[in-house]
Amino acid sequence: MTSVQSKVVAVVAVLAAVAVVVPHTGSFVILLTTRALAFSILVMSVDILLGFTGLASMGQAAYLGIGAYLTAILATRYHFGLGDDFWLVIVLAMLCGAVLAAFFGLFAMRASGVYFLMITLALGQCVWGLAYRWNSLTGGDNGINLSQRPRFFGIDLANEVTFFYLVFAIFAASLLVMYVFVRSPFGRSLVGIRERELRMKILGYNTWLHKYIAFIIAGAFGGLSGVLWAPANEAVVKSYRSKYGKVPSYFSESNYTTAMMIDDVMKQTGGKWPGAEAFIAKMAALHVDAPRGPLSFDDMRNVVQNVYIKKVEKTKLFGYDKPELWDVVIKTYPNVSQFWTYGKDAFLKQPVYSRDFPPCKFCE
Amino acid sequence: MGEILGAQFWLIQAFNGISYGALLFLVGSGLSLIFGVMRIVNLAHGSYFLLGGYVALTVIWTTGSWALAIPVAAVSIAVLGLVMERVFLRPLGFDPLRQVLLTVGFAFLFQQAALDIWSGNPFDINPPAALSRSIAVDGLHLPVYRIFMIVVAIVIGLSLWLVMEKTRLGATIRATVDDAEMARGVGINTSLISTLIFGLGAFLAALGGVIGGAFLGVYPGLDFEMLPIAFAVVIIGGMGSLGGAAIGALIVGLADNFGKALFPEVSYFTLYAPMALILAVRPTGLFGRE
Amino acid sequence: MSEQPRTGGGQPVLELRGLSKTFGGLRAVRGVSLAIMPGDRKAIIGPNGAGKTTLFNLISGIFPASSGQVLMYGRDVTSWPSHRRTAFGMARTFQVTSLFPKLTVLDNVLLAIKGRRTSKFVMWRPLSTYRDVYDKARHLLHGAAFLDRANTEVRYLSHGEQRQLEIVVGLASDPDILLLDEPAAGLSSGESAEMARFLQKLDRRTALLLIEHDMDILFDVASDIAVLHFGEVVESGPAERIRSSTKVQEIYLGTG
Repeated sequence: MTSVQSKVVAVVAVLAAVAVVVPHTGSFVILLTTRALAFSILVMSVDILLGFTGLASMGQAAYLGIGAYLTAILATRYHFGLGDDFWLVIVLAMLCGAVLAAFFGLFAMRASGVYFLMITLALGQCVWGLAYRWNSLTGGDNGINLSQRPRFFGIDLANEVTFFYLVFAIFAASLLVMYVFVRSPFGRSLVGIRERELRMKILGYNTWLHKYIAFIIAGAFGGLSGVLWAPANEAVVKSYRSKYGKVPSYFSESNYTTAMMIDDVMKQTGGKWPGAEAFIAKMAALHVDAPRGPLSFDDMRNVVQNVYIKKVEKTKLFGYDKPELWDVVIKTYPNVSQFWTYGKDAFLKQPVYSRDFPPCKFCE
Repeated sequence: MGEILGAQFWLIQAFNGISYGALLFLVGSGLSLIFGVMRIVNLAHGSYFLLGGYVALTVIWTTGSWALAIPVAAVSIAVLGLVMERVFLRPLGFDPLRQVLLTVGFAFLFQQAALDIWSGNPFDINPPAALSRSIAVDGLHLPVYRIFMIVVAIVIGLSLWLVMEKTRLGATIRATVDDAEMARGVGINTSLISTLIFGLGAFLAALGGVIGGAFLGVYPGLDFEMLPIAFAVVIIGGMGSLGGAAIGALIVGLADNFGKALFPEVSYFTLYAPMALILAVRPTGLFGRE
Repeated sequence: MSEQPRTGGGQPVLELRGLSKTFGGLRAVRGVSLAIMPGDRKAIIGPNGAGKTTLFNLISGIFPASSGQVLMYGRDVTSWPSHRRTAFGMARTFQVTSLFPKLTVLDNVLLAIKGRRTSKFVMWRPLSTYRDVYDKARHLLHGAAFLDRANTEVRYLSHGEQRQLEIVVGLASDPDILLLDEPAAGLSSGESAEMARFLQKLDRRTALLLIEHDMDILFDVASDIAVLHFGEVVESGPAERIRSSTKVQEIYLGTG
């Protein structure tokens, strides 16, 4: 037993060292470690399936994907999970991971050995394919930009160190949970199944059920890893600044977004020029998740986008450690069209550039 | 979407699907044979495809000859495959997980090597002018190159079939696929057959890469894009079956094309979902043997 | 999960009615009928290839039967999966030792005991906190004189020790009937005698059905014997009668 004890001591020592040392290094190391810790949760879930149960599943990354995309979509489209409700996102992601695994498990568990390997590969590819192609939901291969991290119970996770501690804490909790799990009667049954499944059946274990449950649990932890992994990515701002030495301006954002839109259309046509009319039609039908927020076009091909009311403040943003002058968003009006709140017909009936429309409330 | 889904649309898409299927047959038949004979899950197969394209590019840049590029690329990658099998895979024995890990490791290695040697820029392989035209058939404009792809696939398919069914070597291979232990029992050198088949698989994949290079391009990431599609072909058509590979390639080619044209947002899903379903019902694939 | 069988009531703990199994063209087991009452000690003998292990596989649910029935306490369990039969009181050992080689002796027994308890699904508590399971395991190992080797990995035990442990593992699930597939397989004559003594000391309430070739064990342990030949029961009755039966001798000498 002492070899187990010495392993535990070693692991705890290393983790303690990481927790103490990393916050004093630069932001690159902090973010890297944060991502590594989030990823480690996925790795541990794979170990439960592969190492303990002997199930070589090649599609476990799909659960990280589900968790990450769920977090990103909820944050950017529904403005959900950016405050105290972040914990709810965590729970939802684990639930989604579990449900997806429960569904996939029904297919995967029909096979064993090499075929199990391949069917889990195929299932993982299904999720990848959806994420890659379902442009309107997932942003395709542009992805979704998560420019904010949540303010969680008053703790601002935009600060890298704070976010690191949160991820570290969840990682440590997951490690502890799994440590108990593999020592529990259920966990030991998985080892038995790996060693001699037939023997286990004869001993009274419903081995299919045990494997299925393990599969679902691994999916849940995969989802968890995704939630933590998504916000650990650098914002577009950060990478631009580090590359060009200055903060992206209005012009650089529009150019970037325009290039993104052209790229999107050309992807749809497989790189072949579709002709001017088709190109325009495709571009007008785009829904883009640009750095400025979600963007689309109305039927007159004017832009529909968010309008931000900003205030100049001296503050710390985007994880930079010194306070600087930034435009801070104090209110967002989502999806504003050229007609604002006036209906299209009402607006178009009005004369162009009239001083009388809309009516002035505070004139004499 | 506002596009007219008339007869022309369906015919063109069907033709595109068939020609894409021709390319997939080259990639898939190699993988199917490898799995059928050796029960090896070769995740470096997509890399063979990509490297075939890259080597062909180098040949074209140095000699200017597209015709020369084809055999040179295919043979050199075949040699690569032979070495990989002999030196690295053979010692592992039958252990699907280790095979997967080894071949995936090589796939990443090849990917990085390709980036280092040929840079990250995407390239096109330009076929001779004769093949770059279109011919008009019944009001439809069909690219000659796609017809070429179909012809190549048919020629290769027929040659493979002839060898398998009508020659002694073919009989030896079929025996090894059927029951390797029995084959050894009657004096067949199964280890030689295994190496040969692996080399052949790599040859076919690389050939696909050269021919596909004019059509898909040659760029980083193509290896891992092509790999799951090749697996889809093998799984749908059945492992170890050439006829199955042909049918699987056709189905995947058509499904992929129609999927992209009709449901672009879920096009990969329409490919992988049936694959998962088929595996769930018949783990060895539609025409596979176990 | 753990179904409680009806004890007593005069029902056989295990009954086979016309049990058959065909593999393609091969009829491995043909219309075997057998009844075992609680506490019985029966044996099945027959030349190699007679279908004995296949019969055991049918009884324990590893193969589905082609026709016929398997009943436990009058309940038709023919379509039940193996784990359900175990929950109902059946246990089985294998001719080729089927223990967990890299786990310790104690771990093997713990897994076996847990197999019949619903707490095998518990994920939030280490197994080591189940005092009663550990006590029972130690009790079993003590009874079989294995307690001193509780923490040895099974792969380091001798073949004879493993065969004995195989039976202890079978007993750990508190079976009403224990199927023993050639417990003396591969044992030397000294180890055989020890195995015979070991089996004789087993709880009289547990019915035993064993397949065996070893004469010592056979006649020390079994009170009734059924003879299987080409998948059929050709003779059955008290051990002494079978021992002196000329028909049985002919079968074994190959002239039958």
